[in-house]
Amino acid sequence: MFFIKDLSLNLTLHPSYFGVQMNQYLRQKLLTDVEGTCTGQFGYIVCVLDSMSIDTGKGRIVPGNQGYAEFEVKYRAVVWKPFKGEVVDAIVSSVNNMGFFADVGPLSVFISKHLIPNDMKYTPSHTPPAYINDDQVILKGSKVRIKIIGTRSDVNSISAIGSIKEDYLGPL
Amino acid sequence: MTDSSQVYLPANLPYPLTIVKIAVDEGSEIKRHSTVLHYRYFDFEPVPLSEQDEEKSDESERKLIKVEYVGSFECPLEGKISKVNVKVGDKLKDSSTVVIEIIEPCTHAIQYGGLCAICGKPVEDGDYSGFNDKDRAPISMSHGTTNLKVSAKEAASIEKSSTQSLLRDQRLSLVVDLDQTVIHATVDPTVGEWMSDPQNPNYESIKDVKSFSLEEEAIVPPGYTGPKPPPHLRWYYVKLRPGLHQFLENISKLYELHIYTMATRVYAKSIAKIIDPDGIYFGDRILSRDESGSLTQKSLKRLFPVDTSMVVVIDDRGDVWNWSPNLIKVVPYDFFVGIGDINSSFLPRQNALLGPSKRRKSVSILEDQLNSAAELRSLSSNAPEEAVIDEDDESESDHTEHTPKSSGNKDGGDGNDEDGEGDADTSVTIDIPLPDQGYSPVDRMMELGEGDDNTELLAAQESERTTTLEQQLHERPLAKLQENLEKIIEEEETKSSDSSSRSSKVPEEKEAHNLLCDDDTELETLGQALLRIHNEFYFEVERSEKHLPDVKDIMTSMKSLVFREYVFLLSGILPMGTRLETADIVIWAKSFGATFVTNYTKAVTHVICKNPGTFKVRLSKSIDPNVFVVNPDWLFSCIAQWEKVPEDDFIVPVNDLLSKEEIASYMEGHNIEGDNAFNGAELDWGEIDKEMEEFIDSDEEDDDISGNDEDGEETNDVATAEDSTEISVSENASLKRRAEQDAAEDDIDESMPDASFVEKRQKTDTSRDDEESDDEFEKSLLQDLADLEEEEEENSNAEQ
Repeated sequence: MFFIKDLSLNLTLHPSYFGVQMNQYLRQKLLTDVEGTCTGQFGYIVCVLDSMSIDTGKGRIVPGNQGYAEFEVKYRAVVWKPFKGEVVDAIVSSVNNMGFFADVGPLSVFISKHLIPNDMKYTPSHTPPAYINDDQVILKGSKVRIKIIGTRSDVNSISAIGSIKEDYLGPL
Repeated sequence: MTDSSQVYLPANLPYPLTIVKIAVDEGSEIKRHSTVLHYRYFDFEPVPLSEQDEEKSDESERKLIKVEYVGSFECPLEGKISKVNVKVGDKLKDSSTVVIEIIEPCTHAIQYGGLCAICGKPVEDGDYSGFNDKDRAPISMSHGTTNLKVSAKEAASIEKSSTQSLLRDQRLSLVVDLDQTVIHATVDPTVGEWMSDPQNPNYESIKDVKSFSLEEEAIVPPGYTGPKPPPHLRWYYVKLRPGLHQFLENISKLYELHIYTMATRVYAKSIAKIIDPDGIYFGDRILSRDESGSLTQKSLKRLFPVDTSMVVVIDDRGDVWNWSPNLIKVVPYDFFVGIGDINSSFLPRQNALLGPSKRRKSVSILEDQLNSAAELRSLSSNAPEEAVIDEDDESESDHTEHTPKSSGNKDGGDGNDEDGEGDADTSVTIDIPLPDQGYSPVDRMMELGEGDDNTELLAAQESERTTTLEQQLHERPLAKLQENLEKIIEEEETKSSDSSSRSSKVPEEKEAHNLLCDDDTELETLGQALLRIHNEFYFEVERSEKHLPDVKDIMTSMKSLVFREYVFLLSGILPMGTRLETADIVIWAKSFGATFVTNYTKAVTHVICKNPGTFKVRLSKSIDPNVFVVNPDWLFSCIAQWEKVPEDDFIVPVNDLLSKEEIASYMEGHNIEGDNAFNGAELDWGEIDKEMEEFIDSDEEDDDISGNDEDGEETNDVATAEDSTEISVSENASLKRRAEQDAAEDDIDESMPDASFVEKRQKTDTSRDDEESDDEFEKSLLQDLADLEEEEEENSNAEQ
């Protein structure tokens, strides 16, 4: 599910960056640092919003002899976090005899063969290997609709298990 | 889920114990960590302190008394209890009893990234009771990821279904190694330059080389904490083994192909893209170092945890597979001469006869030089850069030095070959696995803990690989080799114009200015062998419906027919000090049914050598004229084709046979007439010494009588030997010591018959010594040796 979230990040800046361009540099650094990353708590940071109005705040010199300054940069971002029970569309990234992996944007979801309808059989002789029944086929690159049945968040990664063994799920 | 899971008591409970209460009923639901039963057990405790004995505070001095305790056991699983197997009052001695059986809603048989892939619940990391759900799915059997794990039961069922589909399609599985098996890769930028230059002599063979680039992290010196340097592009040049596409096309009809390589995943994928652009042969079945469990070994269990009866492996290294019976070892594809396998710098270096010699003599000379250079470099590991240059000079000067001397020889090329081997011999006793660094951090880590700490080891390995590649990039070994090659060819030409008797020599000098040549035929024969295995397997399948054949048995029996009843004697092939059982070539040929012996016996059928001048060869041929004296290429040719190849093309002519007396004395001395085994304990050494003297005398007589050929050669050799001693005297002491050691231990390659006889004796003796160290005997032998050396010196002085 997507959320808009107020977040903040502490950036440390070398004195050589202090100057007119400082705020612009901080914004740039924020974008490269956070966009596309994953935190277990909020999920994937998809996009930083209002990039021109990022509040870089006031810098604070870090105690010590090097003169670094720390900025607390506040920003708003679109984040995406998968939830148990959520139904998502995905693209199959690899197929093997235990099931298949499907990418939901940045997240790779594993769908085990126990959670694939029984009539879909793994066919290794098909090129590329695929799960096939009478009228449907799942191979690398197929679009599938899956239901996430479990997620696990670690500090900076999320793993998820999906299922297509329910009505209205499966190849699109 | 109809199968119930059996619950045992943990092994760390204080057995024996008595059950006092059972807290659950059959048929009821149970939650994780709820109590199943209570038990009673005894322990010994120090007597509680009373006020009288306060001074005795030391616990060990206090009396122990028996105390009764009560403990409880909590259920590690949840589900419905189908059966309770114990009752109140039962005494349990250990953890072997099944306490209860539970029907679980999910057994977590497939796990992905810490989640059960069947029910979606997170898998517990192990709780206070010591039970760990992760242990229930320990096997990682998918190619691309190690995150996906399955239980043994699930693995078996997966494998069963894939076996069935293979049988239905009449196919087998084939695991293919990349580097030096189907391709050869290098990072030497010289290749790129040659490719774009049609004038280059190598252009013809190199023009279809594929290249790709990978982004790689720059190497950071240890302890470096500054900003990360940006990754840089590294270009790889890849030569496909000739006939690869045809091979893959044919074989993929009979086999399901898998890639198993020690290279990184990105590298493996790039190679797969080159050899299989549409993904029709390999698909996603690529297993790289990143997913392989071990860093030094490849294991079929990683891909086929239960059943390997339908799997064939092709690889250029037997040692990484532990010489698995499923393995077909192929001759390493060595297109870029001297580059080796760029992805196995952390594996023990292979030396001593990897494959058939190169077709052209000049290149093989170059290779010999290269080997000795590598050895030398590993000796002087402090200054690798310097050593390379030094070695170049040295080997060149070697040539100029030896050319005039060996001009009396029948074949100058062989003389040089011998030199190369001799050089290699000097340093073989020092076993250094890596070519460039003496002793790398990776080795150390490998020794310390066999790959438990994978990430650290991987990092170290990666940086080592990068260093090797970097070195290759800067040193440009190919360009240097090409230079050397031209020099050698030039020399050969001048040599051939010098001597008129050389007119019959192979006309190779004129056209062969290219270092790289495209003459490998391994895949063709390999394809035929694979076809035969496949046919044999499915013939067996049809013959007996019920019992599935095992490809291991088929391969073993097919292979053992090749050299059946053959006994091989190697001469001048392995470096001195190599144990016969550990040499690659020996293990390899043994898997084809061959028997090897260290010394000549009547049973020997083939003597395998490069140089017919060694004592072993001459002795064998003299005793038994029917013995085949063949080039090692014969061996490779048989192994490649999986059948006995006529020896005719590989016969090495032996010219100077031993005289009858020499044979007789040798045979008596070594008890060959009787049983073949050499029984040193029963020998009368005094008598042998006498014989020895006679033998030396007779040898001198022989020389006087026999033709000039042999005579000339011998004086030459004596001169060479003396030269070398002189040099060693002038060098520093350590070098001298080494030279002496060599002189004492040297292989029988030296063609002086008397000296080699002594060495032979010493050799047999050392083998004997292993069993019963006989000090006295050793002393007498040393004495003999010293005497003999004196005599030799006198002789040579007289001759000069």
